Amino acid sequence: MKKVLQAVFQVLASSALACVLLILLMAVTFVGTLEQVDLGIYEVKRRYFESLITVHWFFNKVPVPLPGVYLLTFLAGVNLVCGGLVRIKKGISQWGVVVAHAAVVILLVGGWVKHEYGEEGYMTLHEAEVSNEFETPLDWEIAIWKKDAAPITEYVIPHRDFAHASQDHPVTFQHPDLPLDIQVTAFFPNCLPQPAGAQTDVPSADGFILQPISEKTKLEEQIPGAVVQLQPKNATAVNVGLLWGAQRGPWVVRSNDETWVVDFRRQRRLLPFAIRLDKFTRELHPRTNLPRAFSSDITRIENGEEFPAKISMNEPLRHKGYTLYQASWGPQNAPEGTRLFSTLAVSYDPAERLPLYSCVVLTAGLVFHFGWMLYRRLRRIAEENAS
Amino acid sequence: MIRLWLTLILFTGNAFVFAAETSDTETIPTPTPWEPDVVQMFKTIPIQEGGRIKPISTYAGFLLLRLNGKRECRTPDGRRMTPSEWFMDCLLRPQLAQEYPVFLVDDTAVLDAIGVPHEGRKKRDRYTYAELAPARERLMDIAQRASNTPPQQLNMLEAKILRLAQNLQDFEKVIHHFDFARYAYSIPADSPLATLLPEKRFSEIVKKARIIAVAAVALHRGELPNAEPLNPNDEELLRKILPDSLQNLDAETRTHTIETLERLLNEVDTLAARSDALAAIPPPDSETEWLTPGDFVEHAFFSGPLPDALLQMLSLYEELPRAANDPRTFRSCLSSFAEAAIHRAQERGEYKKIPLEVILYDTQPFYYSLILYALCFVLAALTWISPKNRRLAGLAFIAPLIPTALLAYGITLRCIIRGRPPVTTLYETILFATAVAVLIAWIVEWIDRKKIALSIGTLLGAAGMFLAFKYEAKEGVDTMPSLVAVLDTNFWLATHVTTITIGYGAGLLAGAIAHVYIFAKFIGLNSEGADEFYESLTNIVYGVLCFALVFSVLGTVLGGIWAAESWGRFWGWDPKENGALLIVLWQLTILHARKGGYIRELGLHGAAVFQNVVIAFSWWGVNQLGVGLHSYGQTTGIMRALFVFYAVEFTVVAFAIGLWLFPRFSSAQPAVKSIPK
Repeated sequence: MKKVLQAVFQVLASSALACVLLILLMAVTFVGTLEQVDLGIYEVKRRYFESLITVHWFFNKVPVPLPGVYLLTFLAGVNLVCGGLVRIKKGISQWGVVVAHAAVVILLVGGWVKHEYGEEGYMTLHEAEVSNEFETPLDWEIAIWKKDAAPITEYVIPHRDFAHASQDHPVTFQHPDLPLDIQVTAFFPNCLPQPAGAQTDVPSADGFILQPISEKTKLEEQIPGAVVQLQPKNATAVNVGLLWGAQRGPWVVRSNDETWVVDFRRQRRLLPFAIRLDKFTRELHPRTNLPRAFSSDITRIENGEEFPAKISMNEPLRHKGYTLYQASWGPQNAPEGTRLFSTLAVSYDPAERLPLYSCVVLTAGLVFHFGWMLYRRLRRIAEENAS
Repeated sequence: MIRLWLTLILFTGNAFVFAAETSDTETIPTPTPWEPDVVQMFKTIPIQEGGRIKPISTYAGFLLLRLNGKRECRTPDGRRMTPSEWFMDCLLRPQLAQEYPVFLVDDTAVLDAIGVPHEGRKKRDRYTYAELAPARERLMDIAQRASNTPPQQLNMLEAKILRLAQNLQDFEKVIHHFDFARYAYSIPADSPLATLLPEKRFSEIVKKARIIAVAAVALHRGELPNAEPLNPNDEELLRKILPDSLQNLDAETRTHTIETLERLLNEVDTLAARSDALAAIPPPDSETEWLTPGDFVEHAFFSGPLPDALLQMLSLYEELPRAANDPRTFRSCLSSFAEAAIHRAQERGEYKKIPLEVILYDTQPFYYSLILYALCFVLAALTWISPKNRRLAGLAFIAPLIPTALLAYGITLRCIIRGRPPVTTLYETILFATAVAVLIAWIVEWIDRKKIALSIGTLLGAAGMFLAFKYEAKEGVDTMPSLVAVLDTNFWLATHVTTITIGYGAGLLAGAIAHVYIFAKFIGLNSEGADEFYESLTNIVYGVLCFALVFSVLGTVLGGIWAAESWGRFWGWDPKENGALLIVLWQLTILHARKGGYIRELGLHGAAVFQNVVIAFSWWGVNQLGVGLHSYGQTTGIMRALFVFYAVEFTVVAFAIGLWLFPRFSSAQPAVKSIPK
């Protein structure tokens, strides 16, 4: 058994495995880079960079299975620890290598923590608007609440719970405090509302259906939709509605003499503080349309206290593990005097500082190692010259 | 209210079909060369373009480069002209400039497509504006259609036609810039306006814009507008156009005056729009945008009066084309205007770096470094022919420092002019990577003294400067542009961008030296001392690779930290980030493969050559994809050159693999010496 374990360890610690993993990582990175032209960054990330295994279609014809970056980085981490930290000969000539390997392990750990516990999204605010919510870029949710209730209680169904719903497998959602059941009878990741016409085999509402879009669309440009039935618990009347990602407003429906609002929106997350946009400023280089600077004067509101701050390019706001960056603004080409909005990217990364620490350690390790090698080489040359 | 009325009058006045051509009676100037001191004075005039203040000579240089493919042109009688001389003719003697062959057309298919005869001309030749002008309509028609196609989908011919159309338009903007000053404004002698504007000059119209505006609105409405009262002088001038009581004005006079006014305002509006090529007049202190003559119209009619000093400058500016045919008067006019403009720019703190920029382009350090690197390579090659000549060896060793110093001088001047670290644009990455590669090669030579690094370093220096030269000519735009908001950080530019570019330079040097090893093996170099030669090459390539790895890794991680600062994530799998990662991964693969004994000398060199492909993909290739956040690094039209480079490098790698698989093909003994770990 010990021999088997030793053999496994030798393989895991080997330079051969390191080379294979590095080359595979190169291959996946390369095809993932090229594929971004057609698939867009989010789909490529999902397919190549956030997967254990993937299939790449060469020239859209030949399927080639490839390990995903998750699997590769996990194996690379194991290889690094076994080969680069445990098995490696310890001596002054290898110290730098050990330190550099340790730095890469820190980097990988940072990446894993970010993936497991991190959050990302966007917060769009008009001037004078306040919010403590941000939206995730890809996931959606269905929210329902009773109109005119005070206070309003929202019941939210997250994306993952209805993403697999179909006519054959509808998904029903119930809540003890909710006098109606919500059934999602179909979900389309990318669709467009169309008049139903002669089509009777697909769910429709008010003469409209959701027509799936079959052509290739980048994930970030896809607009999903769902067909929803509201079934009161103590009645048989059913309301059917179409929810679409680009709809102008929520679906407002009467059920049992109550008015309910059903919204289909990007999934929201809460910040532990609120942000008010006081002023958005954009500067262009004179006589050009080239942006010179963007900045948002904001006020962070927490426990009733107000803290003014400025967020600009390369100068984010950091608070309680969240970082808010200047991402975008609009409306573009708006005439002077238009009320502008600012979009802030929101990121939560408990390991945010690890890359920086890793960078310092890595530099120290590499400089020491290669510096030591250079020193030895120069000394050898000097000795040769002397002799 | 007056603004609304004026807008209606100014911008809806289509009653007159107006073609603001310069007068037929204008004399064609004699093609005498500009005097050198006048050209020197002209060069230093500051203008605002592309978001920054620069010497007019910089603008002229890039425009000529864009049109002509080089920074010089010739007159029909063969006289050589600098960009500034040519630009002076374009602005001030446009009839002459239209006869200069400055439009480089590198494929006669373009001329066939637009219907320009080219019998007896070379396939790649230069044409005058006068030759192309008859085909203008057809050219613009095709270009208009091509401009609706995404750049990646344009075929070669469409792309060339589009470029020629853009060049033609850029040229027209310049030759028509001073139309506002040359034009004879149509003010009949019997019109009341003739007494208000006796000189019929643009600056006079701008100066009296408020009076004209009040008169125009009053004549339209039949009563004086409810606007801020005019000062007594202006009031008196107004009365020259309007009688005391508008009601007393007879209908015919009123209609006639309105027509004259509308025609005049139409002419001013059209000529003002044509004058937007150059913003050469510094604005009032509170503003950042420099003024074109057209801006004066906007200001004068819609925003209120401008300071007298600025109006005086406009007047001086307007004099330039009028005096162009009289050298003496012109020198005086140019001197007065340049002095005033420079003084205003100095007051605004915007002139300090203008002379430096003029020096940078006058001294041409990058061009001379290209020539000198090529000579240094020849010198290095001579040392191989005459290995025992110590003087020659010494000279060859010292010589590359001269072009490198020139390169460093140019880079330093650019840093001072921009107030930025050395690398902020794709063009600057070429300059910096070249300097890094040559310097490393020189240091290696200093240690090693085998003449290998020296030869390859100088060759790489010449190649790098040639690439910079070709890239600058291909783009034809200012290589010191204003930076987008995200790049406005000297800290990250100085750390991440500089570091990653050092990695490019070092990596390419290692790859270039590896070619020598493979070539030597291929030709079967096996003379006395060959083993030492091969070992030396391997040591150099390995050492430089290690150096490149440190900077590639550091640069990539620093890029991630910058991305975390600016975009909220350390790593986003953006194409440019992936390109940097590919370099790091390949360099690590080489080192791990060598350490594990999976590759030996030949493998190391083959892998180092392949590394050049990876670097080229990262540096240039990903920019061709047209996706990602690094849009400021994107460039188009270099795909063919890139694929040629890939093909050459793959061929060399194939040779290396061939030598490994079939060592008997090489008469050299396989190297058996281990390389240092």
